[in-house]
Amino acid sequence: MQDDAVLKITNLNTYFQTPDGNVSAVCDVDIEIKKGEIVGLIGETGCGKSVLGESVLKVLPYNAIANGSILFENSELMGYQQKQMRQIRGRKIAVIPQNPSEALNPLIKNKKQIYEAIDHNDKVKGTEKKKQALRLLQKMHFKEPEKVLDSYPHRLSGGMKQRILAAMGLCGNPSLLIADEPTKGLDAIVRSQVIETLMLFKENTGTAMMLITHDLNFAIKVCDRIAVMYAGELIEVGSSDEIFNNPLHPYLMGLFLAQPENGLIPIEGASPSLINLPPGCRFHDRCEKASEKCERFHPEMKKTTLTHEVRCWNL
Amino acid sequence: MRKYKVKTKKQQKNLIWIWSGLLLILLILIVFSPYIFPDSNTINYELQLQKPSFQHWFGTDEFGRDLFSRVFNGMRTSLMYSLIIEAIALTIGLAIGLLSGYLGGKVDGFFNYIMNVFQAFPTTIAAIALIAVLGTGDLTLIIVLSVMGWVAYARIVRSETLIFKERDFVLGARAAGGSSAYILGKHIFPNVLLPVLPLATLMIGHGIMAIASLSFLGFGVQPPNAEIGLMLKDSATFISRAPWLLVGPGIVLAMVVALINALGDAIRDKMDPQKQMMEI
Amino acid sequence: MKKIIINRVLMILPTVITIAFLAFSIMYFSPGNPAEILMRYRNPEGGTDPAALAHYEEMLGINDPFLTQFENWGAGILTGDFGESFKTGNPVTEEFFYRIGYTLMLSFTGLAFSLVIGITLGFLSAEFKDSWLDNLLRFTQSLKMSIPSFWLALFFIYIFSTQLRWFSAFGYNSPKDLILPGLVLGLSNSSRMVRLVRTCILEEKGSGYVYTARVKGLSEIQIFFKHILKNITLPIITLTGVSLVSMIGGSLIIENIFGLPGIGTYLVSAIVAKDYPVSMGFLFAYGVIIVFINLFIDIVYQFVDPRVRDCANAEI
Repeated sequence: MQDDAVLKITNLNTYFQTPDGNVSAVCDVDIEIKKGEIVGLIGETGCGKSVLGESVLKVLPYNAIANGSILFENSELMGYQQKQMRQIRGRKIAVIPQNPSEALNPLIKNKKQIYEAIDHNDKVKGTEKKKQALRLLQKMHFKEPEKVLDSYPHRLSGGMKQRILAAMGLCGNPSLLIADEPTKGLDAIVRSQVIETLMLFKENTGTAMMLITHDLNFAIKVCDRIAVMYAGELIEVGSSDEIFNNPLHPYLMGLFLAQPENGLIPIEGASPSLINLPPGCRFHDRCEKASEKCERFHPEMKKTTLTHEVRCWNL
Repeated sequence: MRKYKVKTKKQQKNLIWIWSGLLLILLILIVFSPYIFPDSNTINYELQLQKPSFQHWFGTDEFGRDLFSRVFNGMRTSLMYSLIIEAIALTIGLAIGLLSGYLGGKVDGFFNYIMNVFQAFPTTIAAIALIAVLGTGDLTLIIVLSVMGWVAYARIVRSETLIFKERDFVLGARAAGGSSAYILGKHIFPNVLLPVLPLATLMIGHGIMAIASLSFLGFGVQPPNAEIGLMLKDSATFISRAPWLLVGPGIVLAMVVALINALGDAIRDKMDPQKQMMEI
Repeated sequence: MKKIIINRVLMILPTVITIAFLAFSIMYFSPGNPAEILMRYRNPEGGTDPAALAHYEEMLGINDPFLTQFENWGAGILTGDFGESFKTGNPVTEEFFYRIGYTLMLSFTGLAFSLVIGITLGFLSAEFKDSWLDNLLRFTQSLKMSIPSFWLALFFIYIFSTQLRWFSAFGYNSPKDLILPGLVLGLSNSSRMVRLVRTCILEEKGSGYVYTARVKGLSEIQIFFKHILKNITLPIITLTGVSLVSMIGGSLIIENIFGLPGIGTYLVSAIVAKDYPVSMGFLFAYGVIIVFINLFIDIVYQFVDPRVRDCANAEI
């Protein structure tokens, strides 16, 4: 079991120091991603899912502190210096950042930005570098790769930018891809392109993936397993089938009801502030089934099947 | 990962109280300086250019006058002039800003052009140009710096007026048949005053600095009035014999201006926390 | 693109005319009779001979209507003739071109210092945000904004000239004499640059493309030089232009303290001496220089950001 895990996160805590107090964005998260597996991390904005990805890569803002254990291909990343981390980033772990329209430097030509990624992996000469860049773009199904290389990012559409970012991720030999909100703010047509992009990526590398998204339907369509996050902690983990057919946590059920095809029924209330968290279940003040126990004691993760875990007292 | 000590809100607040206390002490010394130091102008040639001592904290000048008391006397002049200047500049700025923002169109275009021209020129050069026309003197100094100072106010008042012009209560008042003068005076004017407050605080410090600079060149406050820039001009002559004469006036001037600026910043942060980072 | 530039160039015409008008009014509106002042300079022992006075009045044309006088002066400007100094009798243009070099040299030295100081300190402040270094730098910056440049100048003169004797305290003999005044000028005008660089770097560091560069595996140093620097160039250039204007404004007082033979020193003494042609000409020149720097900033702005460029091209 241990050996085929690409990434094994145990007991990860990440918090930010701010003038108002510590904001704990990620609390006691345990999650495992196996070779070639696609794991979705879903939750609403501000629940800490992006911070989780940033913690793995160690690209957190300066005022953040992370502790716990992050095992990547059996080596502990927690003790790594930035210099060692740079050997991992881009080579072993590829990232498709969120918001592609802002993820490329607007003042630098696309080719230079792709060359940077190539240079980081191995030094190749000028013409060879261009050939490699063209190859990468072709792999991501660009029709006029030459033209794309020679233009500035603002000439490209959001979907094209995302494919360029994916192409950059391809040039290493990644065993894990972290895609942060790949479908945020995209319409249906572009969304299916994103799925295509991700599948292309997988075809080319056979990598495992961590998909960070708030888009439940997208996650169910693409992922093997799904982890649901709420207010910094995991509340339910299971295979896509289990999550879709047998959601257990009231928050997850609420999420399904809030989907357009189910009538857009919103969950009452708002997530708690991450500064002064309530002692009990973090969802209790929005939960219809909440009892006094939920209010006072914090539930732990409980296994309901071999693969399905949930954090709720009412089961 | 580096460890950072993040200042909590409470610590920040305590700091503001310390600054305000310090500023208050300085202001009391400045405002009541003629009563606290009644013999600051006593000439005593036996005490010429003395080093700082317990009797004379900042030393004495070339006429044997106590520099410490003269510094506070001088700051009194600066502060008084600066307040007068800001009052005049604020009045002009409010009037033009309100008109420009409210009327819009050609009036706005004209005033905008004027403001751009004014802002393009460094205060020193523009002030000296006006002084060249009007001749030197304390009154000229006040006129000149007022004429230079209104633009900053007018800009902010104009943009606030533009915002409030479209707000519901103003549109309502207009729909109810209120005259332009009534709407400007009763509805817009009180609302634009608040955003002007932090700027007005900062401008007092600016005014003190500008007065000192012009006086240093000989175009500002004229002797026998005491003023920091003027005192430093005299001290400069004795730079190798009595360098300590530079220290006292400089420190008090810097402290007063720095504290006023800090107060202005604090007011601005309190009123609009989002703007803290944007201001350059 | 061309359209924008032509538009900007045309916009400065009314400004220059206004400046000329203001500069001209120095002589017209000043209390006292300019001819009398001129007579006293030309003929110190001459007393008050009404005939001679009439001659000088005729020479200056001060009995002409305002507009005629303004036209004459303006026509002079167009041919490069700003009249002669009351005091020395030298043509103002000659005096100006002899002195402007020193003022520009001082201003650019100051600008160089402020850029170096601003970028270095701003970078450090941003890189070590909220550390003791950042706090110290920010504290000194805000303190510096409360210290007048002339005090800083006197302080430096005391330390480096009177005590250490590294530089001469007064006058200009070699380019070395520009270092101390340039440093003071740069230092006292660098606060805005430091703050701008700090704010911009922090803003860029939080932006998407920097995140991309990070996860690509680039080091912070690579990210700064290859990505951030390019993106903060535009605000820095804009502020450099604005700074150059404040350098020229600040040079006036610095020149006077360090006794540099620039236009600021001469202008101040001309105003004290009521040497009107010099005051008028030099103030007009100051104004025009500043207007042209502002024009230059506007135009450079068009060339930096490819998005600005594209929009400008699309318009034609």
